[in-house]
Amino acid sequence: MSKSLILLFLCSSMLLFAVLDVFSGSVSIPFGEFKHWLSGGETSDVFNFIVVQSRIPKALTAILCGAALSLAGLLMQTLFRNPLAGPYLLGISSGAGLGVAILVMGAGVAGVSLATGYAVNVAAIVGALLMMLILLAVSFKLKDVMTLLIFGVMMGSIATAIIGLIQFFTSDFQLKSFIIWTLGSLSAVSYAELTVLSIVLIVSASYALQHYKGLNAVLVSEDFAKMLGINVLYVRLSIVIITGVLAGLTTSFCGPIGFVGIIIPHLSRLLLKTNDHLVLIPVCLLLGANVLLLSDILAHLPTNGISLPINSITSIIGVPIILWILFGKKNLSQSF
Amino acid sequence: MESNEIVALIGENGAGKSTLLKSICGLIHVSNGEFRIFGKNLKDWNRASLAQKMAYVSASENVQSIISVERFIGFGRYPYASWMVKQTEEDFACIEGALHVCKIEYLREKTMAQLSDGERQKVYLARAIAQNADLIILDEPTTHLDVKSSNSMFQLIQRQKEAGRAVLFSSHQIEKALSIADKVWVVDCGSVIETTPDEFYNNAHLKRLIYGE
Repeated sequence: MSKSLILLFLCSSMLLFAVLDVFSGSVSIPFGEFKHWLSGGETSDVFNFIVVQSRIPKALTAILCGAALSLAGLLMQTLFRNPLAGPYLLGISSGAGLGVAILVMGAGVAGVSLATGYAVNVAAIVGALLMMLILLAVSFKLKDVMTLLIFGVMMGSIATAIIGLIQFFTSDFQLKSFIIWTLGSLSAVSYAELTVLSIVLIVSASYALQHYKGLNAVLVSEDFAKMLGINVLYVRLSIVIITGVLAGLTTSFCGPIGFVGIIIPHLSRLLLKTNDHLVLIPVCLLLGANVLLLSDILAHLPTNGISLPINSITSIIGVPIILWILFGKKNLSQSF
Repeated sequence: MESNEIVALIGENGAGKSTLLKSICGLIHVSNGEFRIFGKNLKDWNRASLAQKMAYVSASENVQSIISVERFIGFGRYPYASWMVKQTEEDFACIEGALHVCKIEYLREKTMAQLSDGERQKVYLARAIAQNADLIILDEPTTHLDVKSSNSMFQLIQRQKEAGRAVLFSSHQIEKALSIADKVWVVDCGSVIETTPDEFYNNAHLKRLIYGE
């Protein structure tokens, strides 16, 4: 299949899944009213609430978060030249989790309920950004990417350990609201937040695409890139910043969503049979959006009014894919 | 080194051949002394313009990536274009030329992961040729190669002279390396002795350094 055909196919399937996502859920939407709304007509309050305020932002969230996580995963796999790298490996999501844990459970100890929308977002972003700043500071000092990777894993472990300690000393109620956050959710992201996320995503994606040559060369080795005249330090710093911001934002809006960041880059490579970032980046973005939309549709399949936690769905889809790649190839790095 | 000259770098394992080559490329920080490249101190070179003058193939380079040979050789054109610019006619001409010189046109569509060691080494050289640099530095280009492949590798190195390039390469295949070299650099305990292939064979001390007692 030619590359432009793959892109075209992914674009149209994304639109199809987005429409399906809007129509899937506990309340069925009459298509006539949807068409009426599209042509600018007046609609009922119920329709407004369900479609305009809830389902459309949810579909947009799936598209943006899927794309953002996949891009972050691809860039990290390239930077660390490690097929198992993902936005979670650097401890960025654990940092966000720690921020939320301190907020939700700390507020419980203080006897006030702060665990509402914006406060959680801010706590997660602050946690993620702090983790990213630590990594950034350390990446000046640690010249070797593998050491940086190990440092990220260690920082993530510390954050998880502190979360565990806080959980131990906290009340059942606060614990539950934190656990629900860790399950991940695509709903409850406002249009304002979506605007922020889409601006950040567009800027990051175009930056990455502009520097595809640097990414291609860095994937071979840092010395190789240096000898081709590429400013390796600059590329490395910008990748750390981009992945930190993308992973921090998506985690703060939707909770930690696992596996998308790791599997999408691999699926894109398998699909394209190339490691050239010029085509890999757009395909990765589109495929990520597709997979998260599909996961959300699956999450809403039970028709009795409940929706399953998105993080479980992505893991259930993601783990078999990783295993299939692992067993199908003798060596994961061969597809790398 | 003079332009249009082939220099063979020889010495024992651990004598510092790779370290010397990496230092010349500025990949290792040198605490004492300086390298002058094309008349200019290495530290004063801007990496992007240096990349148009000097190409390097590392001994540890092992690209098993799923990228086509043609695209990989195209990496050699990166120093000539700013980030987003598409490949120009000249880029295509250089890539074609490099494929032709190395006689690897038939590998074009294959991915780097599918190549044999000998083919891969030729592709590395082709990438360096496509970079169109005046100086090509090759760190042990014939390691892991069978006799036939290493012979054709030496021929390719020799042919670079006709294209007006200088080549500095390290090797353990002394006779073949010396047969194509204009000069020999013998690395011994942190110092480099410059000589010619003829003088090398007449110098008992140097021969003992390389061949042992």
